[in-house]
Formats: sequence, C-alpha cells, structure tokens
Amino acid sequence: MVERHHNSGRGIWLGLLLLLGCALPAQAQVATPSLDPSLPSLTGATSSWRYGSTLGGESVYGSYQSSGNEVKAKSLQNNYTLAFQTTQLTLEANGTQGGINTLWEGGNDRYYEWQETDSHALLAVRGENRVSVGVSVNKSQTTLADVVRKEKSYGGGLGLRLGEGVYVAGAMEKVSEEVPGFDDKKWTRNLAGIGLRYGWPDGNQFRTEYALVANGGSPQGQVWAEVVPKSQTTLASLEFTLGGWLFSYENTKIVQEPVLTWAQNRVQTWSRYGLGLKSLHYSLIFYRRAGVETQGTAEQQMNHYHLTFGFHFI
Amino acid sequence: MKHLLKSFAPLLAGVLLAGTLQAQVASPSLNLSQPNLTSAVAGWREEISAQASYFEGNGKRRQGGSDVYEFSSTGSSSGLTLPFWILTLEAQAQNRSYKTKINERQEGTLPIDQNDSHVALAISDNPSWFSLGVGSGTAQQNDYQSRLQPKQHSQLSSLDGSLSLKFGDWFYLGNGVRQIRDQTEERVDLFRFERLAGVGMIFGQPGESRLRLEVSRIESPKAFEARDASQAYHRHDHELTDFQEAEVLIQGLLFSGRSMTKTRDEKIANGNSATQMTTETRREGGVIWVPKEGLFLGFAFINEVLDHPNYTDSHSSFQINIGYLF
Repeated sequence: MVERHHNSGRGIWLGLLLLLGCALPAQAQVATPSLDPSLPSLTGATSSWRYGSTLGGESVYGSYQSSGNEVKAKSLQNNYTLAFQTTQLTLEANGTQGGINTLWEGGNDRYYEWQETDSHALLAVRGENRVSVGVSVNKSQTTLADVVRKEKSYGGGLGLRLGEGVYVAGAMEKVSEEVPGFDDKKWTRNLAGIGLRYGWPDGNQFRTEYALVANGGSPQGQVWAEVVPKSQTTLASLEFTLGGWLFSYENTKIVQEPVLTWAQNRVQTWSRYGLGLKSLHYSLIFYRRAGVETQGTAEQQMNHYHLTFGFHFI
Repeated sequence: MKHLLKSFAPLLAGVLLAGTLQAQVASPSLNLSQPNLTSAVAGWREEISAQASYFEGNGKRRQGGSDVYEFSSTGSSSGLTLPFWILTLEAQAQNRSYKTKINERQEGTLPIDQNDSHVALAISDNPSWFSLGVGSGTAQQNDYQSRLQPKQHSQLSSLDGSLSLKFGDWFYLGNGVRQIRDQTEERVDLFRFERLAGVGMIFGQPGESRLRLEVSRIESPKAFEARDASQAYHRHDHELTDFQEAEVLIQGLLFSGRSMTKTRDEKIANGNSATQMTTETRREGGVIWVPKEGLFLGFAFINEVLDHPNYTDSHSSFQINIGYLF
C-alpha cells in the first residue's frame, strides 16, 4: 500500500521531490529516435531524424515491491507524443498528464504517492539530411504531500549523420527549479549519444544507440534546501524490425549521487524488452521493463508494462 | 547612499538589457540572424532574409552578501534584410520584459521592459570595396526606481552614419558615429554622440568553410546638460564598450562566440567627485545551421554580469534563432 505522510517537515517532501528531478522519460533517445515512433525524443536534434509525422500514445502500469518490509505500490501513467515533420522542420510535443506515481525511499523503506504533469516542446531543422539543430523547452510540475515543485529547462542540441547510418549528438539544457518557500535553483544537464541506424520504415530496420545524460548538481549539503539533484544516466538500446514486427531491448542505469552528506547513492538498473506490430502507418508495441533499485543495503524490485500505439504519416 | 543612487538612476538604465548581442562594426556576421551594429555593415549582405528570435532567462542581484532580487526575463526580436540593386535595407525590432520575483526593493534601478527598433539603409558599389550606411533607431525602456516612482520611462533616439571598407576580399575596416537624444522623465533632454570603430577579417569563400574574426569598440564620451526651469540636469558618464567575436562555419554549421565588456566611469554626485567604475560583461556562445537557402535554426547561451560598486547582477539566458533565407 502507498503510505501518505502529512505530518513530516516540508524539507522531507522537498528532498523526495528533488529525487524526481533526476527522472527522465522512461524510454528516451538522444542520438536517434526509436524505431517505435510513439516514443518521445529527448532533444530537439534527435527529433529531426524521425521519418514523418506521428500521433502516438503510451500507457504505463508499474508495480513495486521492496525487499525489506515487502511493502508494495503501483503506478499508472499516460504519455503522448505528437510529431509534425516537413522537409526541413520537425515539431514535437510529448509529455505526461496526471496519473499515479510512486517513489520509494530506502531509508525508511516506504512508498510515497506523487503527481506529475510535464510537457516537452521540441523544434528542429535538418540540413542536407546530415545535420540537425534543435531546441527544446521542458516544463514539469510534481506534487508530493503539500509541496509543489516546478522544473523548467530549455536547451539546444546538435546532431550529425556521418556516412550512411552513424549518428552522433550532443545537447545542453539549463534547468531551473522553483519550490515555494525555498530558494530557486539552477543547474545544467548535458546529453550525448552515438547511434547506428539503417533501413527504411517501409522495410526492415536496425538501430542501436549508446547515450549518456549528466544532470549536474551542487556540492553536497546538510539539508535538502541547500542541494540540487545530481545524477548520471546511461542508456544502451538495440532495436530491429523484421517482417512488420519490432523487437526492442534497452538497458538503463541511473545513479543518483548522495547530495546530502549523510545520504547514500541510489542506483536504478532497468532492462526493457519490447515486441509488437510496426507498419508504415501504425504501430502497436508492448514492452516489459524490469528494474532493481538499491539504496545502501535496501532494495526494491520494479516492473513496468508499457503499451504504445500510434499512427504515422510519411 | 540610497538617495544618491536614486538621483543617478537614469544613468543605470540600460544595464543587462541587451538582447541579441550586436557587435558588427566592420564585417558582416556569417550568421544571417545576427543584426548589425552599424548600418554600413548591412551593405555587405547579399541575400534576402527574414529572421526572428525568442529568448528567456533568469538572474539575480547580489548585494551586501545576500541575494536581494531574482529576475526572470522573456523577449523576442524580428528582422528583415532586403538587398536590391546597390542598396540594402535592414530593419529590426526587439522587445524584452522582466519580472522581479522578490518584492524586496533595495538599492539601484530594476529594469521592467525594453523596446528597440532600428532601420538601416546602406549603399555599396559592385564589385564592393566600400559600404556607406545611414540609420535611425529608438530604444525605449521602463525602469523601477522606488515605490514612489514604480515606473520611469526613458528613450534613446539615434541617427547614425557609418562606413565600412573592404581590402583584398578578407580585411574590413569600419567606422561610424551615432548621435543620440537621451530623454528621461523629469530631466532635460541630453544630446550626445558615440564613436564606433572596428577591424574584421573573413577567411574563406561563400559556400566553403569560413572563419570570421572581429574586434570593435564604442566610445561614448561624457555629456552634461544643465537644469532648466522645470527639469533637472542630465548627465551621461564616459563609457567604453569593447567587443570580440569569432565565428567558424564548417559544412553549413556556424559556431560562434562573442564577448562584450562595457565600463562606465560613474561619479557619485556628492560634491567630492568620487569616481567609481561599473562594468558590464556579456558572453555568448551558440550554433546555427546556415543553409544556402531555406530555413535556418540555431540557439545560443548567454551570460551577463553587471558589476556595480554597490551590487552585482548576473543573468543567464537562452536564445532560439530562426529565419528563412530566400
């Protein structure tokens, strides 16, 4: 069961919300977009390499169980991805509206329920089919107990296609955070990726990518109000389509550094497997994403089930 | 000290208000979305282009060891470059507005909003070795001074003339002069002028990889207009603004870095003629896709710092540039 705590200090809620500041979309691409067009791009420059326009959605159901007290929790999220592409220009909007989310805190082995609304707007230009320049504006609001945390980031990125199917990309985002009653904070998020992609959407395709996301934080502090999140995320994915079917694998590792002097690293490791139908004009893909999170000696098991669906216009 | 600063508040107007950093005095930027600082430089443009930008940022004022204000700012600009025959017309407009999050007023002026516009007309021969330009512009600004004077309006109207010379297809010399009418509420109008000079180099031919370097300077001498029967005196302290620019164009991708340092000799009017320097610095780095024709898009990260004897304003912003090259 998800426990609700309303009598603790706001600093605790802030601390938990700060952990969410490290969160990325569950499935994200930096150098090249996924072969599943219903999944979001993480930078504007990535979005440029899409094939055509997309109207996509995603539902995510999650279950969690800690190994300590064996407490359980559930989550349910709905995401959207809209992409519009002309010869040179790509516009993409993706985000999350509402839903139930859970956050595990290993120190006391408890789950907390929180709410999230976020939106991402991406704009990119593709030059001569070998250069992509993109910008992005991201806004999110997370609420835990009586604390509302607003995060806003804007940034730009650059993507290059080398040869037939080698892609490299880099982006930088300036992130700012507002929590009523606390000082505003600012930090930088850097993203880099390299990928291979071959084939066309009307045939068989192959894609693999390795990406890094560094969410810069401030020096360590004694209380949550003094610090900002700091994390490193590595993403590795392998996808291919064969005869109208899409096969997908992705590994994600997120390390959240202990910005509090007395806290411990939080490490999440995820493996995602996907299988589904993928044609030129529609897709229906099912993913299972299993993960383990450790915090010191505490541990929780996570299972996510994703269903993406979309209509595509090339 | 407070009342002294207040009396000089109009002199502080204009701090941290620059949107797009204009630094082109001698040679044209390889970035077509970049407006020029002197009208003559517009004469080197050969392409018709329309451009717009959006910028957003935040910052804070640090005073006496603590943060007293937090700013957030948004703005946009638009421009059009229209070369025809031996003439080039360039028009640009820009606006920027600020919000101050902490309503804890202490010392110094706070910007509220700004609106700029400028029209330039340049004439150059063909093949070109010189460009002669004239222009006119206005810069309107509202500032917060105090609770009693929450909004003070000021306006700079300018007329400028400039000349840019090209030697050997790569070396540029620029020179110009700008006459400014400085209007501020409750003060007499002040007429003053500024001198501009710069040296630029562009290596490489259009369509190839290129490198552009430029250094330039604006000198704004001190000026004073005595009070009349109804309005207070108006004084402008000596200012020196230095620019450095570097641009590298590789395969259509333009990487650029610009910096600006402005120093102002600011006298505290207490009869002792104490002189204090105020320094404003601005650093900008960005990238933009520059096609042979069609849509161009880019972005820039900008950091600005105003180091005043009594406080320090720092501001960082992000700018999106988009346009079309016909």
